[in-house]
Amino acid sequence: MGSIGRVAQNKIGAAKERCLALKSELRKLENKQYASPRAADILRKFIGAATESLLRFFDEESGNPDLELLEPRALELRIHRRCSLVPFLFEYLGLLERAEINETNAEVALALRRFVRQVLPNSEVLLRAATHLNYSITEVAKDIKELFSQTPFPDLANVLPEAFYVITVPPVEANEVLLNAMLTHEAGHGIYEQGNLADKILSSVEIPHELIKDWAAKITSQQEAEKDEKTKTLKIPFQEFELRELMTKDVTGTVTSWVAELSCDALAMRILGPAYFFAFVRFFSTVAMLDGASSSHPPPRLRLRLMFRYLQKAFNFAKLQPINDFMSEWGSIVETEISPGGILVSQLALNAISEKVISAIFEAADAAIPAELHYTDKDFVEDVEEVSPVLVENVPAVELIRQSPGSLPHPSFASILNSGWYILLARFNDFQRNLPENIGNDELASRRQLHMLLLKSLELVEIKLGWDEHSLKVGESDHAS
Amino acid sequence: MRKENWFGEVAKSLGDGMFADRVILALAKGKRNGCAIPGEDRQLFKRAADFLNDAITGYQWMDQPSFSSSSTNHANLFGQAVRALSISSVPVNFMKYLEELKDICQHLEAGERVSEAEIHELKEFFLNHSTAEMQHTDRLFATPKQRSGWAWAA
Repeated sequence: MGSIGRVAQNKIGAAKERCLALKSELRKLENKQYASPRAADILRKFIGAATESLLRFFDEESGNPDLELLEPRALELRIHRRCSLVPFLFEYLGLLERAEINETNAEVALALRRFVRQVLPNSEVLLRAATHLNYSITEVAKDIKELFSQTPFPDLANVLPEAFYVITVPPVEANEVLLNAMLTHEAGHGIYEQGNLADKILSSVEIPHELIKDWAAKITSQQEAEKDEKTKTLKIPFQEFELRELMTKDVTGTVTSWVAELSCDALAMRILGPAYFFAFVRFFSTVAMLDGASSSHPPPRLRLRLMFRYLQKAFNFAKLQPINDFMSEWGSIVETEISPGGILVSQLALNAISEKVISAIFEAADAAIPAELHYTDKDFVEDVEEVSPVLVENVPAVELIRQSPGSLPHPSFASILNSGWYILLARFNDFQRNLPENIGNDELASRRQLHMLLLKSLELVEIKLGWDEHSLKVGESDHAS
Repeated sequence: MRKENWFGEVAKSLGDGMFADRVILALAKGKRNGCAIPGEDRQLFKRAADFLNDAITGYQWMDQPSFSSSSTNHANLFGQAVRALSISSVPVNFMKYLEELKDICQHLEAGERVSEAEIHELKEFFLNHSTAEMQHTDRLFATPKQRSGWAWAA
């Protein structure tokens, strides 16, 4: 039996069998086609290498004489935790579920990858269909590198890129390209992390000590009240440190999360301009109430207010009547007082997000996005005047005749989405008139057609860019030889 | 970006637990070694002292609330330290208790001998921490709903 007890030996035996099952599962996935093939390949390679290392590690652990020094509980904990790496790897492999080419909006995958890598260099993107009606982004490399640093094979996770983003898109909205603008906010989380924006913003947050004390007093008095009423103490009275833990975690967690969310909105506004605001207005109505807040997300009204103020400052919609009308309507909605209900921590967080904090958020967002990626009023005017007329004619926008002769720049991700929103809000009737009658007379079918047209534009631009890059590479290698 | 996403949280919990396991084994080896830690394991106790120090900072946050990128981390470490308390012997003075544990870690990191009782006290804390993290990991494995990164959702 070596140096290790029977319970531990049994756990290791079972874990090794599951490692073999994992290897077999990996082989099954080899011939599948994914919307993000490079990301899928990296994931499979990492899991394959990790599984091999674990098999060797389990053998070494079985023969480690020092483990005899551990009492049974400590030994079982140690082995159980190491064996838990196997189901963890199974879950990690599960990220490839619903990432196959037929389950995601593969047309947008390449454009999305290019866009994310523009704002987040050294990252990889895996696109998969969500199981819920929300967009999300999860970074799944950093913590795993940290975890493997505690194992005997700390360098194993280096096969993963600096940041590995798993982006989920609701399948029902896979083709609703205009709502895909929400992904810019999700990419913002990556920028927030990589640019250490928290360091630049959070120091401007102030919560008066008195407020915290008042809150603590309220909780204490609630306990006291119950004690007086029933003339006995509560079943589990708070110890001083437990109360501190609860409040510290609640306040720091809520405030830092709200600041992160608002910052990601500010980043999305810088990158995408009005298209993000329009998408958010449409999107939030399906997932939240205007003043509904949670420990992770501030009330949508606060988010909209920040975006609205930015648009008022940075864009001029005066000449675009339908957009101007839309903004006026929402202006009065977003400036209405926010009532997050009786949740004390939400009220506290709302107080903490002062004008000073909002300025810090916008300053940090400005500095974090390279100037060439800022979407400006000038860009919007050009898109309204040059890109949208092409789309209104039901023609995909692939090249712009804008600059010197021979130069045909491609419309960016931001341009295509902003042009699409402009058509939807201001020129939809014109667009419908250019469609075949049976589609043009049906509002929903016309909207679908607009989305398909935008999707086609993104796909064609990506094909053209890919072709240009390939030609450039071939040219360079010919020149070198 | 928060750590509450499923993969991040499990990875962190497993990693923290593995660290605790390494400290426990190092303490067992130290006990065999006359209550001093052999050279190759001493670095572990620097990290252990940092962990306890950050938990103390988390405890003190309410006295002077301010924010930085570390605030949530300190609050989380404070929470982990609370979970690592043995129910049967909750210390009267939590701060003092953490400070004492930190002092033991600093002595061990410096290669100094400590008493068998101190080794035992530190081992009990990390054994409870290891147990609490394992329970947390197991709970996370049992909550499939959270695996798709809700925390960062729009």
